[in-house]
Amino acid sequence: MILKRTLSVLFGSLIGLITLYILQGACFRLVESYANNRLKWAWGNYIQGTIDPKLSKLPLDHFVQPPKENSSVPLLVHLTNENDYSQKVFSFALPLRDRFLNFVRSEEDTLRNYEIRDLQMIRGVASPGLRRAALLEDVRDGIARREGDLIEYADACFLFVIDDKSTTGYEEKFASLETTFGFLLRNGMACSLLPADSLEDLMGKVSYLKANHGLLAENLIVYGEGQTAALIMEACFARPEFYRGVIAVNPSRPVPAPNLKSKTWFLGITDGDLHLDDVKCSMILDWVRIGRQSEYLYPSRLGGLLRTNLQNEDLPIPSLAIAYAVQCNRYFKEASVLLPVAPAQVQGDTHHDLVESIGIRTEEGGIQAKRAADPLPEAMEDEPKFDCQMVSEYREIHENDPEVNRLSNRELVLRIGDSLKEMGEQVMSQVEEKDPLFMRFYLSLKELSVNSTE
Amino acid sequence: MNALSKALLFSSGAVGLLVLIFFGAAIEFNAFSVNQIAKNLTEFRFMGYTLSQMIGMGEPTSLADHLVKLKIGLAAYIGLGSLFLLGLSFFQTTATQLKLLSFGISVPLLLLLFSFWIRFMNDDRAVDRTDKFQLFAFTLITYPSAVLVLWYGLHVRRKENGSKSEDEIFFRAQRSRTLPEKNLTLDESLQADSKEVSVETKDAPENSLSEGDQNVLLVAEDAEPAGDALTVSLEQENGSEQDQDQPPSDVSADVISENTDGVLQPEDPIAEDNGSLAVDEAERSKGEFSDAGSDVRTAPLSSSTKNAEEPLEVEEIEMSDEKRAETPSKDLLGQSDNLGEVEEADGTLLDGAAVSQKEE
Repeated sequence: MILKRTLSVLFGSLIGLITLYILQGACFRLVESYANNRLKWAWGNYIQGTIDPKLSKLPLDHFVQPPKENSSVPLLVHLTNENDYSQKVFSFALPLRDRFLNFVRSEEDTLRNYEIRDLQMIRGVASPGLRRAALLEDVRDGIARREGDLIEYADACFLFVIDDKSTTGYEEKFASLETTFGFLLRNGMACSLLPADSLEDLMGKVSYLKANHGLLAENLIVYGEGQTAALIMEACFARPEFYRGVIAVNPSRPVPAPNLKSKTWFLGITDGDLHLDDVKCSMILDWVRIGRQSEYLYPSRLGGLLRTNLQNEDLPIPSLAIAYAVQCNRYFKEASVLLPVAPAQVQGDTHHDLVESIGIRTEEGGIQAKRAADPLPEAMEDEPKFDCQMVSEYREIHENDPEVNRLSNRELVLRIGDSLKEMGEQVMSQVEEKDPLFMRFYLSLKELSVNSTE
Repeated sequence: MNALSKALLFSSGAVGLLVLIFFGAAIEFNAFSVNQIAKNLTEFRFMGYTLSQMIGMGEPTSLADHLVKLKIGLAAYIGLGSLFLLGLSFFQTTATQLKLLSFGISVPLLLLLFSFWIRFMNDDRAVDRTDKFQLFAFTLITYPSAVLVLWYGLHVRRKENGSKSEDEIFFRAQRSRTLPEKNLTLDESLQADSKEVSVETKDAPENSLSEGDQNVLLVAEDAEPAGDALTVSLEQENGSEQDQDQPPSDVSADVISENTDGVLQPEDPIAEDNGSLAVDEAERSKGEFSDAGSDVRTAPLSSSTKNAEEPLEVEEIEMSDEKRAETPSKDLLGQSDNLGEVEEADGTLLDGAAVSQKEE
């Protein structure tokens, strides 16, 4: 009798436990806010991401370790490991993918509330219509006439690169991508369908966008398939600092990964035949690994992903790519303060030299792109340095601290300012008397971060 | 009931196997075209999963592979289910059959649901609102049903007691019918039953009459064989009590059906509570109990089976005429009789000596 009762209780408890497990898993799988919150609990915020020691004891997808490089293992095994890792670590984005799929299948005429305009050589840029008050540095950079003016910006810019010689017409392709762009626009991302017939053409257009519409193209995410996937990888190889994210679907040819530690996130989507081409396979694996080389948690986990044999969704663009772009945008919107300032001096023909030096095949007809790239150096020179007395003194004091040396002036301004703010208003007023420029820098950056968060 | 459930389970299992054999033969010999069925099965999708994935046969690589997997998978499921039903039909008690059937339904259902959810959670597949609704509906129907059926399976023990009592009464009734041939008194037959029939009497209270037991056994010292005695007494009771307009009793109905059909109706709820059965032929024929306004109750079967040689308790219960008038009763063919009034009041077993003493 007791045994029966015990068995009954055990059986009931087992079912209860499984039910709880499935309930939790179902919430994670279906409820976007819960999935994002669980990610935050596991990894912390974007800037100070650390793995939670208590939660890490649980077998959650967030704590799966990236595959290690092992030359003795066949490439196919590497591919499988990378695929499994990417699927698990990015599982928190499945509700977002569901939302995108539902949006694409149910919404119509999604661009009617958004402005679509031509930016000289770049046709049909849809902007999300976000506006903010201009800051002092915007005035200094020539973006706004005076402080407080409303200026247009976007959290990120998504470029769908297509082959200019493609049989599918531009208009037709744009129409098929309308709902996709509508979804991205709702997430604060500008979108454009960018035809490119060569590497130089592509680089010219991207350079023009960065130079003349910096607020729209601050965080640039590019997407390409086949030939254009290889093209965008070559462009990223040449100027990695231009791109925040590269999404390459079945690149047609092998492209070497950037040598320097890249800040660009990379997502490779391939079919099952990738392992047949060893060179292409190993190069894509290099891209993925280099993408994950970061001292920060989020990029070290999500910076390089590779998926093989994705489920066919009958969409113009895989939902995984859109989810990755949105996640990339979310991260860089908040964590851009961690990134070093782009190189101030870029020679006029740098990208051309780079292209030639690395031996990437280029095609003729890049004159227009070269001209378009010319305004870039001036724009880059105007990048704010945030150089002030407080920062200089702080650097002198922490001369031997490698962490401080690694930080940019912008990050230091924010960090010192936050510390002083915690000390109280009196300290802040004293600092303002001592170094008013520092206070202006700090308040501007703070306001910028608050606006972007909103 | 047991025979009915046996027949039901056996025929269901046999039909399942026959259908399986029939379709297998039809496909093998091209008896008729199953193209439409095959097409429907291969095109079936739930949340984007094919039927072969749903039944755990893996993702098909081609149409032919899909058909083979479906054939094997469905045949295995139907065959196992049919064999399970056939196996169930060989169990003796309805309670065991129900218990195993509830496990057989709920456990695979829960396994199917859980495995599907775990698969869905670990899969890399975006779903839209329609798929989510399908999943919600599937879960909403499957989970509560499975849990309820499982709960029933875990708590079917109470029914099991009742079912055993039914069996016990069934055997007792059959034995009672054979008593005249053996020329045994009812007391003797009860004593014999106590040795032969396995009854769960240890858990039951010795005097279960106080718990409202209405299934009574009236024993007279010079009692006639049970089957005839019961019939005779009921006829006599009919004659003496018809003008009292007593409503029918379920208990008497059970006894009646036992006597008329030779098989006790197992749906008798009172018989489930206590397996005692008795008739006081002498007292009934005289109609003394009814005239005196008193009723005599017998002890439960447990008392008689536990120690048949011990003198049984005698309890006389006063019963007013008004109350008796309200007491339901039913005759052999569903008409009113007097057995109900005997069964309605509480009481203990009255043996023949006690009755004689009382008469004197």
